[in-house]
Parts: sequence; C-alpha cells; structure tokens
Amino acid sequence: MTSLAAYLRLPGESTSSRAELVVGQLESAIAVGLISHGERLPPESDLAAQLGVSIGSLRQALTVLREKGVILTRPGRNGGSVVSDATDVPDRLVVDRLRNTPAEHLRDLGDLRASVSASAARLAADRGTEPEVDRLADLAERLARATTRGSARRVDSRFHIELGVVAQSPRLTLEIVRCQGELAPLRWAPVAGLPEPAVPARRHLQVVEMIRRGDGAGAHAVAVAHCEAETRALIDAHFTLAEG
Amino acid sequence: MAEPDRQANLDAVARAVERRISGTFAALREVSAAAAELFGGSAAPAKAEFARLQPLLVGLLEQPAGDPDIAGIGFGTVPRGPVPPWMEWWRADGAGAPAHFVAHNLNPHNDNFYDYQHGDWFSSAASGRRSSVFGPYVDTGGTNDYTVTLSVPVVVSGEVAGVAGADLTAGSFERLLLRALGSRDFEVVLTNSRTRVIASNTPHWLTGGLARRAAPLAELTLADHWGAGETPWRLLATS
Repeated sequence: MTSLAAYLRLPGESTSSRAELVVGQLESAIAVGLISHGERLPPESDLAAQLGVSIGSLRQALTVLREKGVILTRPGRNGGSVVSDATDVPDRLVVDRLRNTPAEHLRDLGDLRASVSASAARLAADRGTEPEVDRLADLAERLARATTRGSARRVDSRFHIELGVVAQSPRLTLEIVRCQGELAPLRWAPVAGLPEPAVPARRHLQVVEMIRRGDGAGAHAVAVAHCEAETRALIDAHFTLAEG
Repeated sequence: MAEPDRQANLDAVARAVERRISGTFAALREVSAAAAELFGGSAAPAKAEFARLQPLLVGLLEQPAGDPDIAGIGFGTVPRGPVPPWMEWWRADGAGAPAHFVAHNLNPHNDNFYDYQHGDWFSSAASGRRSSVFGPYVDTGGTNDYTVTLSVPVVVSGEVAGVAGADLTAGSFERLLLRALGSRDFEVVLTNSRTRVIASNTPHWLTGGLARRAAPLAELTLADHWGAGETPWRLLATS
C-alpha cells in the first residue's frame, strides 16, 4: 500500500479527536480505492507511522471501524484487520437509529430536505436544458424499476442531487447531498409502512414534467408536497418502532 | 455606442478567452505525454505509478501570475485488464494555496460514488477520441464548484488508455471578461454552445442561466482551434 499521508490531508485545526480523524481518513482511503475490499491493513506500527499518529489513537480508530463493520479483525498470529466487503451500514443500526431519533429531529431534517430539493426543482425549471431534463426522467424511471432497497435508496438520492445539478447550483447540491446522506438510509430502512419505490417515482416524474414545461412554481409545489409526505411516512414508521 | 466599438470589444474578450483555452490545452498535452509514458513499460501501471505525475500536475497548478489559472488538473484511467480505475487529480484552492490530492470516491457500491468514466468530460474525450470542452456544470462529488472541464484522450498503441482533464472555474472567466472589456458601457455575455451563461458583466444574465431569448446587438462565435467538436462558445453584446 502506498503511503496514505500524501493523499489524505490532515486538517490544520479540528475539534475532532485524533482517533476520529483517523477513522475519517481510513474510510476515505477505502472509498477512494487506496485500500481495497478484502485487503489486509498493514501492521499497526506501520499504519500508525504512515498516518503520523500514535498507536493508541490508531487502535481507538480501528475499534470504531470494527464496530461500524468497516473492518474485520482476526486475532492471533495470522490474524490482522481486513477491510470488509459490506459497504452498507448494517440494517440493525439503521432501524435502531430510526427508532431512537425523535420525531422532532426527523421533522427538522425533512423540512430542510423539502426546502433545498424544492428550491432546486424551481431553478431547474428555469435553467434545465433538454438533455439534463431527460437525465432526471431517466433517474425517476429507474427508481420505479428498483428491486432492492439499496438500489432504490441510491437512485432516489441521485434524483434529488441531480435536481441541484440541473439547477446549476453547487451550494444547493452540496446541501442536498448532506440531507440525503442523513435521510436516505432512514427513509429506505427495512421497516414496514414506508412507501414502495413506485410511489416516490411517480412524484419524481411529476416534478420532471413541471421542469420540462418550465413551470418553476409547479415544480416547487410538487416537490414540497412529495417531501412532506415522505417526512410524515418516516415519522409514522418511527412511532411504530418506538411503540412496538 | 457605435457598432465597430462593440465588435472590437468582443474581439478583445474572444482573444483573451481563446488564449486561456489554448494555454490550458497546452498544459493538458504535457499531462497526456507524461501519462502515456507510464504505460510504456511491460507491465500495466499500478495505482501508485500515477503518483509520478504529481510534480508535473502540481507545477501546472502553481503557475505564476495565475495564467491560465487552472483550478484542478489530472488524469483518469480507462480501466482495462490489469489497469485499475483511478483518478490522479490535484487541486489548488485559490492563488498561493498549496496543491492537494483530491480523493474521489471510486467505490461503486458507495452512495457517494464518483463515476468519472461516465462524466461528460471523460466520455466525450475517450469515446470521441478528441479534445473536449464541457460545461459549465456542477461537479458533484468532485470539486463541487461550477466548472468548465477541458480534456484530451491519452492514446497508447492505438488505444485510449485514459483522459487528461483540467478544470477552470466559471467564476474565473468573469475576471478575464472584465479585464479584457475595460468598460461597462454595454452588456457582454459569454455562453457555451447550448446558450448557457458562463460569465457576464451584468446581473441581467446570471451564470448558469440560458441566454436563449437574448437579442444580441453584436455576437461572435469563438473559433474552435482545438478540434473540440460542437463546443464553440459565443460572445453576445446585449446592450
């Protein structure tokens, strides 16, 4: 493995602990492909030296990564840490998070998501070109055809993000990415009662229709209604879990 | 304002824009040559091999006098056989800031996967085997800037081994436009071939908007010196 230090910038000032930074850097390295799935991590002393941290901080970070399911560790002489193949957050953790997140938090997150997605939809109606709108339509259709929760979640998030892209808005897009990052795993959690892909797909197609017609106000209205319905469904699922 | 003055001003802006694009393609030819060399050995280059491009990439980013003011530059592989997917991409966050590696998410199973092979800048150069000028667009998962990306295919033994690309921010074209214009007596808009506004000197034409309904008093299509296909940009004087 090449030296990670050259690739991963250590931020100058950060309130995160050393261990948290190392967790972020290792996850980053895996995401980038510097460390492949199934690949063994170097011995602790080597890795700590490469990252420029103490063995203590590294061990703390490895513990967090183990708990997250990002690495698997086999004890003993031939043991060591290996990057696991599972890249999704374990279902159990997502369900726990949905159960334990108060409805107020979900509502607040849903409000922000509705605000940014709908604003992007409105701008997209004004600024989108034909091929860009076609790309949005394609994402909506792919959601309708999604057969797994993971693929539905990915293409659903990509649709919202693409709204920001067609809106030509880097900041809105970044905010949508953040919202989807937090909301999408919960919205697509393996619990009963959350709408099947065909439902949001229909709404997405309606938004696309408005955008194609250049109707910004209409696109905004449909997007808000859709996001609010999703927030309510999510809160409903939360209460079912919390009371069960 | 007399007609000839408008045209002269548009010409000045056009020349400045063309100089900047030419300068960037010259930089990309250097990157392309260096990348091609990495494929010269008997074995396909591993990810670590592409780190040898770093001194060249960093040097091109840290040009003096901010000319041609490249915001990001690098190389993406066409994965084939033993050649892995890889983006050796470096960026400088503004004048004087040190260049740094940009860690793109290359894990296809991850929600934030950066599918560079399907990016327009990459695919038009790779499959079209030609220079490309793409944008402006929101580079999600990459720089998150509003970006114009220039790219050239890297051909090794008749095959496209990868694409070298360079990012210019849409915002940096405003500086160039204002400097070349020297006056604010009329409104000038720089658009791409799809009428999307790259830069202007007026709040009437916002970057990212479409200048479809503009009724220009003078206009000029930039020459496509770089063989970049249907990407000729236009300059409009709208008042």
